[in-house]
Amino acid sequence: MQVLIGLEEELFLLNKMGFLSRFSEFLLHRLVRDLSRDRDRLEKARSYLMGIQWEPNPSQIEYVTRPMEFSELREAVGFSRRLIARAAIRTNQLIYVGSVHPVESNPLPLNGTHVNVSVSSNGVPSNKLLAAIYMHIRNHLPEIIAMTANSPVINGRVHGFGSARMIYSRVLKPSGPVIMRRRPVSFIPWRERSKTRYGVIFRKMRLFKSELVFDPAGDRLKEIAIRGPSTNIPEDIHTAKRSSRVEVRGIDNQATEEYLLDTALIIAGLAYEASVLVGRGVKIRERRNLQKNRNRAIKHGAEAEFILDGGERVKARDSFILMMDRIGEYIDLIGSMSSGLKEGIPEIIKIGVPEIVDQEKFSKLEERNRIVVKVRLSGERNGVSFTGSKFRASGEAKGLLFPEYSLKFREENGIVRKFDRIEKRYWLLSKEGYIPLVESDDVIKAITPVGHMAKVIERLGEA
Amino acid sequence: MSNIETFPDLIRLHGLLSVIEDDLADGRAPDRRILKRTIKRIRKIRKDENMSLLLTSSMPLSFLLEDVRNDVALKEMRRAIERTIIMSKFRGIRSKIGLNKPMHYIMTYPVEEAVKAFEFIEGMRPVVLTVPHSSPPFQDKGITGIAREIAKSSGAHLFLSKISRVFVDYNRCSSRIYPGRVFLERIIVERGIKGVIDLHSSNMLEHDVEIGCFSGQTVPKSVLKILEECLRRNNVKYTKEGRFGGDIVWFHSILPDVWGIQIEISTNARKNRIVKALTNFVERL
Repeated sequence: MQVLIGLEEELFLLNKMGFLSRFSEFLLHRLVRDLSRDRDRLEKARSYLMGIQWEPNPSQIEYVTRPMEFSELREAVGFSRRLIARAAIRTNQLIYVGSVHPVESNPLPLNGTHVNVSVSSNGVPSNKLLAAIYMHIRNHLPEIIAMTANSPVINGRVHGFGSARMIYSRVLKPSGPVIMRRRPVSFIPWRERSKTRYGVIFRKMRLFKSELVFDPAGDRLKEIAIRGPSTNIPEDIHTAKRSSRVEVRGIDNQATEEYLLDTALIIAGLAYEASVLVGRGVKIRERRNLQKNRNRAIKHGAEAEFILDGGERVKARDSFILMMDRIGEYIDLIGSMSSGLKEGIPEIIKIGVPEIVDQEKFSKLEERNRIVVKVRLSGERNGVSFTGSKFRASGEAKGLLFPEYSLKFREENGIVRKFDRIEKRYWLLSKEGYIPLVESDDVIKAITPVGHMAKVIERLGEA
Repeated sequence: MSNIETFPDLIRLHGLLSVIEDDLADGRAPDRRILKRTIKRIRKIRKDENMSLLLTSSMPLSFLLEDVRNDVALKEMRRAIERTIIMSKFRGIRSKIGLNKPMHYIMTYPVEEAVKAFEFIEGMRPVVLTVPHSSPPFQDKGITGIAREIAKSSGAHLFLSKISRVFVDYNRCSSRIYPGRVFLERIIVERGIKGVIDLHSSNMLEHDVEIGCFSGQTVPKSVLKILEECLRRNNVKYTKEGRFGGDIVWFHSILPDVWGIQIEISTNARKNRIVKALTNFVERL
């Protein structure tokens, strides 16, 4: 059996202070310039990568590897991350390999990893096998989502073990079970017209005897999808048969290569197991509590509790370990695991959550958007005017409440894997300038800017 | 950001505020029923988080920081609603000013350092030239020199960024609470500035100059006509169809009092012609 894996990983670009830097275009321009002068690196990039692309948000960039065997993938991932990091350094930027930016993801932008896998004996998986791989991986999505959820801090606040990507992403919808239907001619709905210029598509009868349908509208933007010409996805209809694969998109980024590769390996192991089950004539059906478990995995990550087919409840980690015990033999045929996932330790636990230094009193107000505030300062202090001169502030002050963030992180050859400390310091923007706030200051009044509009009208009535 | 539900409320609120404004202008006390209905509409909008944040992003800071006079406050509220209505319908504006997600006021650069991150050179005319991308890396090439020459020969005020846009991009809405932007907002009010000219450069333009004014929403036709005439007289090829504009032009232009134009200059264009054309433009205003 040949198992091919392809990875797509989105990365953030950061400035030297750790905040999002929106210059992916400059980075790619630089990367092309550098590569055209370095023949060896260019050849390596050509053999490992399909391409590098920018995302709609200019602080994100994505590399896409070619389908390859697992042994090659390790080198390809390391090379790709280093290649982009090198260009980032040369453009005064860094790359961050996390899923969410701890401050500026609010909740968007979000990063994710797509794992594409195909198992076949002759390089072209049959429709039956594709359907089985899809159903089998889909049945284990709760375990995969739970153990790869990796978005500990969003908007400067602890988010927990849940997967921000799955909660907030606007393009990742749940996918349905796959059905096979014979359809020599397809109708493309009007709303999908941008994907293909045809409204009716004819298929080559001899090549594609049946069509795999996991979404009636042929939408590929699902947490898991079958890709290739034998699906009803309009963009894929004219692709080559050898590009047939299953794509898993509902995965948070893993900061370390070990975790990233092991995630890909587990998915490949499940695909391999599916092919063995097909060989034995087993029909893979949807697990009984799949949707319930999926929702729990998204919300609670590794801390979730799953309901097994028999009704027993188990911790997500235990369910994952059960799965690993079963697919271990197939994983060993493909490659070897090197991260904590082997023992059921997700990366979020392994590398830990950044320390957050916050002024809670003000943070709560900011969270509720009550940022037009009047405070009684607990003592006299220096404020900073807009032009940099100092002024003395005391008594009551009115203005706009906002946090100033500072981030501490470790950088290794242009790659940031983790933020160690997030410090939030609140200021009051008053008409005189900026006044630093301390916890002992009293908040007399705090309203939202729109609430402030209502106050102005109320004041008119009183007058 | 979906805000279709409260959009009709926003339109009605605009109408109600106009009625109150008219009453005040005529020296009458506003009708109590109208005031009640206005408050009711505002409270309804406040419950829609996305619309609320969009409306917040359209409010001038002075409205939130100071106790302004009632008539001024009403005018600012009405204008904020007008901007929100336009932004609700034209999503392109949001992406140009950097409002792709609901806006939250945060600072990602230390306040004490940010106060040194801009330079203001006082002029005599009621026009301010802004160069938000004047510092490396990723600076607009050659634009600082051009802006200094125009300011010197025309007597316009000049605002220069002293920090790279990698850290603070003054032409995005996220920079509005940074000292540079707050200072700019104050200068416009205190010095009676009538126009803001935001200068940029690019090596990817087809023409010598591209004019951005959010499809005419930030500048009156008469001013645009003068600019075109000055460019034509100095043989500068230009287009109005190209660049849209950024947050400086969008946020600081409040018609009919203050207009804003973004001017994108090609790095291949002849600098002396452009300096001459824009100097003439400022002098004729």
